[in-house]
Amino acid sequence: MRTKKLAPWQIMVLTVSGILGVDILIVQHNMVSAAGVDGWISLTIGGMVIFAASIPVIYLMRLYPDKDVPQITIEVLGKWMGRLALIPLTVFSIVYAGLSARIIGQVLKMFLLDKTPMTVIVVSMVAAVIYLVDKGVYTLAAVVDIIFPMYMTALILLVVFSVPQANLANIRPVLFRNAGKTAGAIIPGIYNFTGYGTIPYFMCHLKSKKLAVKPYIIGLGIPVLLYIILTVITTMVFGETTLRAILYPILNLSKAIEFKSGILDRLESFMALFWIPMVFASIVIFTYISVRKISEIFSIKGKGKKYTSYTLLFLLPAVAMIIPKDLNVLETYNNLKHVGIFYISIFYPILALVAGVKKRVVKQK
Amino acid sequence: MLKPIKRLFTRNKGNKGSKSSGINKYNPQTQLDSRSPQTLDDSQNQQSEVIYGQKYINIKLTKNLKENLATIKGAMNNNYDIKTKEFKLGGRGVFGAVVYIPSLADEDFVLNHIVNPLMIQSSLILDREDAISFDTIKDTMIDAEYINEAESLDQILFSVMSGDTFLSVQGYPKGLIISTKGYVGRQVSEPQLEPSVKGSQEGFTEILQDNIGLLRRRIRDPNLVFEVYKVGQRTQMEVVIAYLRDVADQGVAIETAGRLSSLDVDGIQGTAELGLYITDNPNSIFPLYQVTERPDRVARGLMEGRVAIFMEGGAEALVVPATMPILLQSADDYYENWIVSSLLRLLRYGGMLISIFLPSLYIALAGHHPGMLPTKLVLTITGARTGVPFPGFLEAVIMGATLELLQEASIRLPRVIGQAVSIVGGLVIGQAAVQAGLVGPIMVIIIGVTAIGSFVVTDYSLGLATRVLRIPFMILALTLGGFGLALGALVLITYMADLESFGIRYIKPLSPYRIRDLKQTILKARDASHMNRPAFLNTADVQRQTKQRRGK
Amino acid sequence: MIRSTWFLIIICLLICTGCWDRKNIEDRGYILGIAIDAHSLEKDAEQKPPDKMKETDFGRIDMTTGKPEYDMTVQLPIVKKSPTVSASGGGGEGGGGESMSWQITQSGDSFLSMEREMESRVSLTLFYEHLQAIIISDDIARAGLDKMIDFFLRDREMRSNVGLFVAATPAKNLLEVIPRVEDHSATYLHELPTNSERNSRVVYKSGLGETVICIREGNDFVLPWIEATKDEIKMKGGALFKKGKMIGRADEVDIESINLIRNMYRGGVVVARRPDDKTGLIVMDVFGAKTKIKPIIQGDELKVDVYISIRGQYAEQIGSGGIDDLSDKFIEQCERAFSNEIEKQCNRTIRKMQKEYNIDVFQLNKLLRTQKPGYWHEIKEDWDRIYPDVEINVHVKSDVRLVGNKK
Repeated sequence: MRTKKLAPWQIMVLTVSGILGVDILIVQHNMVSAAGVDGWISLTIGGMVIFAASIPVIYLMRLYPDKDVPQITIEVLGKWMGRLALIPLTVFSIVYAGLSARIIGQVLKMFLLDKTPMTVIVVSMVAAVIYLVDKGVYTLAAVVDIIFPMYMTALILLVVFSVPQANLANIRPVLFRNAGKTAGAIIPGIYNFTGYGTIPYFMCHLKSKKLAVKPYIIGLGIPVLLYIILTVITTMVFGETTLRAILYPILNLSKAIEFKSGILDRLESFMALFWIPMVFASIVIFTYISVRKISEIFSIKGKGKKYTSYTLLFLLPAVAMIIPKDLNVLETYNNLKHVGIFYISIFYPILALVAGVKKRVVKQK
Repeated sequence: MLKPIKRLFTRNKGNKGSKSSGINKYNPQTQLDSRSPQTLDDSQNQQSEVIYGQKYINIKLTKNLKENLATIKGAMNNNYDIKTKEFKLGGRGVFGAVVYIPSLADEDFVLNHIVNPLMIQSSLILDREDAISFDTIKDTMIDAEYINEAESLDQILFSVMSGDTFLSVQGYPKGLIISTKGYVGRQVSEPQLEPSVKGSQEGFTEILQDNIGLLRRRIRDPNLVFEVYKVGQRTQMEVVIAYLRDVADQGVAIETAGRLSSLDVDGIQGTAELGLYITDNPNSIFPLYQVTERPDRVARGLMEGRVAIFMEGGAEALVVPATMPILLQSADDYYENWIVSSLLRLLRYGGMLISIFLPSLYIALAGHHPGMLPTKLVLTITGARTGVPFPGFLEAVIMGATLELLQEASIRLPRVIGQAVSIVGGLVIGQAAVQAGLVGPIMVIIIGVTAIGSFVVTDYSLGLATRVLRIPFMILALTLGGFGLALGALVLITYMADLESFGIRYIKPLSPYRIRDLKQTILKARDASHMNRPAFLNTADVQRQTKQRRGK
Repeated sequence: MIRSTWFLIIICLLICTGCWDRKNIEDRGYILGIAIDAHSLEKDAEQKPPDKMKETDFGRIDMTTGKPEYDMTVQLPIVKKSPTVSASGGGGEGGGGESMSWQITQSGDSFLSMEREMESRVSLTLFYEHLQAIIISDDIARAGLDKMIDFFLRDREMRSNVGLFVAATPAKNLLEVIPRVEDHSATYLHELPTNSERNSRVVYKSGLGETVICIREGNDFVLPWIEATKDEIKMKGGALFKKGKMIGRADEVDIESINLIRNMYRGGVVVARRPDDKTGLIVMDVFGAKTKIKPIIQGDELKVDVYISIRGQYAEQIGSGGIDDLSDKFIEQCERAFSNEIEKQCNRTIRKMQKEYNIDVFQLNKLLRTQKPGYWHEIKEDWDRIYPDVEINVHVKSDVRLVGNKK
């Protein structure tokens, strides 16, 4: 009598958690490096584009309310074409999850654990992830749901506390001889939201018959807003030059906060504890969708799914540890997202188009 | 194995039970008849004949009284506690006999209301010899709460073992089972585990019918139904499921009934043990049901749409489903202002977190991240730890182990010696260890606060769970510091989110959020204004009260 | 069963191999303060017998990359068992009790090597996360802060609210101070700028983080200058830094003006001559000030208007025999007197900064960059030349809101 049904609220939380993740730690640095003080403008435009990109996704979910992405793909594109189209997506989500684990490992090594080997951090993280993924989609949603307010509170507190440090002068002048760069940074602006495509994996488990479009849209809006706010506030606190120099601005932001007479003095290490659940949630979601895709590609059913996730237990750390130098990880991660966003932004519209045409054909018959 | 008895034995011992008995008799009947697919009566009535194994089912009584008595006594191994009394009906030549167990039956009742009328008074009423027929005896001569005809041995044996009296009359191949139960048991007294400041001071006793009376007194609703099952091949104890038929989630009631009926053990002693047999996950370290000895809590649970399970011989009730926020409520919450109670509930969450995390947090902060602490605190802790020979982890383990030893000792020992234990323990933990330089004073504070934190957790089993969880978290803190703690917390959340109590997720209503439910479980809702029952319990009847405009 | 076995194995492995970062809290040496001096130890490399060895002999380092340039002194707290009992008794009579801290000096050319070299002398693992203050000596500051500060930014244990101070050579004397109310001079130093809410003549925004942002953006800035006796430390004005190098000192009045113009004034005192009786004084206790700077470009000329509005209470008067006569008119006159005083003071400082030091300590460059980006883009190369001649007009409006306990 297990009920595996999700509430609309959980759809929102899953959307937010799918998009957030390690990006939140590096997005400010990326945007400011690409577009200077106007990074937040590129980010805003990128966020708008994401809303547009979500239209085919919503259309697909409308057409097939009981199916998730791999099932839809195979149904729409046929058995072999569908599988072929799924393979790049699978690779993307696995590498994304692996690199996320690596990046949070790097952050932790920098702020919490100095000498602990990276492998230990990554493997224990991935083990916890697989443990959850193994429990099924409802437990996954419930856990993500529970940890959501934790890191949200941490983020909001961070913003509130850093407002007194902010200096409006640092984001001025707006768009001064910088329009070209700002326009060029739109694509990096978009690819911070790669996770927008994760929700069709969960929508089919929705409790109500009605599609939860509104929670999805709200769920897209929250990270967009959050990224913009955080980019603006970090720019205002640090200024462009410093932001270009520091790797993880959010953590340095918590470092800059004067938080006197607190029991926990060093806020940035404390904050690092709160990024763990957040990154955990995003890795969990990406691991889950990887498992789903692998099981559909290879038509794995029943107990085999368990072994799929156990395979990932070895695969994810392997992917995470494949780059030897910490220096190159962030770059690879950004390149991956660059490629990924292109594929995803083509994949969904084409899928929606084919599905729409197919439906019309069926109707005419 | 399982036998739904169609009526409850509610032999009145005093005035208090008498009102309810009528309803009791009526309800299970209708309840069982109206049950749809999982209906219990048909399929399981056939099984019910197997109470004492195949051996006695087909043994029927004969017309010969002596022979019958011999059979019955033989089946009972001529036991010392069985008493038979033979007599002549109405002074004539017809022999009768009663079989009963004096320690279970009300002997006065047997002698004065069964034997006496048959032997003496009947002669005054009846002149003709042929008037003494079986039906006359049954209908006109004996008054008891119930009188059933019985033919087969298994029925007779079971009734006598439960305290009823069996009356046999020469010349009839059947007899009468007359209700004469009269147990001796503890009186209703104060609940030991869950004392309350303002609430009622009644606690359940070991006698099932008293407990049911306590409950019925609180809910005088014909829809409060009791279903009876027998559990235990040898013990044959009654287990009663109680719920409000038009409120409770039928799924939970059916599930509970199903689990009880599928039990096949020789015997279960006590409600808490029964809980372990019917729990969703025997490996769970968290209690997946609520064990309470307070009638008011059970009544409240029933009105929330949950199901209570009583057992003969158990001084507690199980209330299912129980989720973690429910377990962290206390009886007194309901007798206090909602602001105070809400804060107290939050305090309990704090206590639980402290009980699980504080020692590991100390290990992680002091061992891995001293930078997170304020400088002056670090220097204080350093000063306190200077000269302590053990690393922080061992220090915590030593003190924690001492604490657990003390707790266990003070529970197991008789109360008189328990006092001495606490004095010795106070000395050992508080002073001597510090003065001897074995542990630092900070550690004493940490362990003390941790212990108090676990005491705040209202549910004893949940408190035990927090004490168990401390250990893995300490190990994680030792190896991976704050990261280990965060990871462990995530795994713990996963574990808890995966648990279920009778089909309800253990962490509900923490996820998915429903403000209305959170208001009633994590906090306490304003009494006059929360109109609905918690939705996560899937109650059939949603509304709890109509809107009131008291205050503003 | 198999599951729990696996679980146990993992836990055993963790315990046996783990604990990479764990270290007992009392085994770490919490560096509270660092003083950085130019290398000055005597250079006799001869071996001495152990009883003749001095601390300075230990401070030397064998190097492969050249000669030592810095002397780093760190302050470690001496933690005794139950520190509350052994606190220096007597309330500071007779010039402070015994020292609660240990100063270790080490010479070298890079800070990491100095730190690690120190660990050959200290049984504790040095740990920077509780660093309170970095004191830089005069000559190091003049040689350039930007040259040597990298270690303190890159190291993961550094925090950004560490206070930076400048003192006369040798800076390590500052660490030797045994303060009367705190146990360690570094914590004392860290707490010192908190009084900036009442005294506007101290530099309070001097954290490592802020300073580094200034260095990175090429802004000029001020760091507090400190002086000390045996048991006392005073923040005395500031050290002026241009392009990461110290070029001079500002007195306390200058600091007050700088704080005012940079909108960093948190509270202080203004003293002016009594308008009706020039021998008497009036005092204003300022509890808030707000400054707006407006750059105006007329043709090629840059003009900067500084609007300062302060509010406070009439706190004290000296002279005039204590006559209580605070009419509205008098208050108005007082406000004007205060405004004039502040204007005078600010103009003095501005002139000093423009003409004497040519240092843009008011960070007008940042202002121009953000508010007049077009203009800034053109003159950015010539800013050093333009700055001394920029016309800066200060307009002060003071507002006496309270008059204290009596009229």
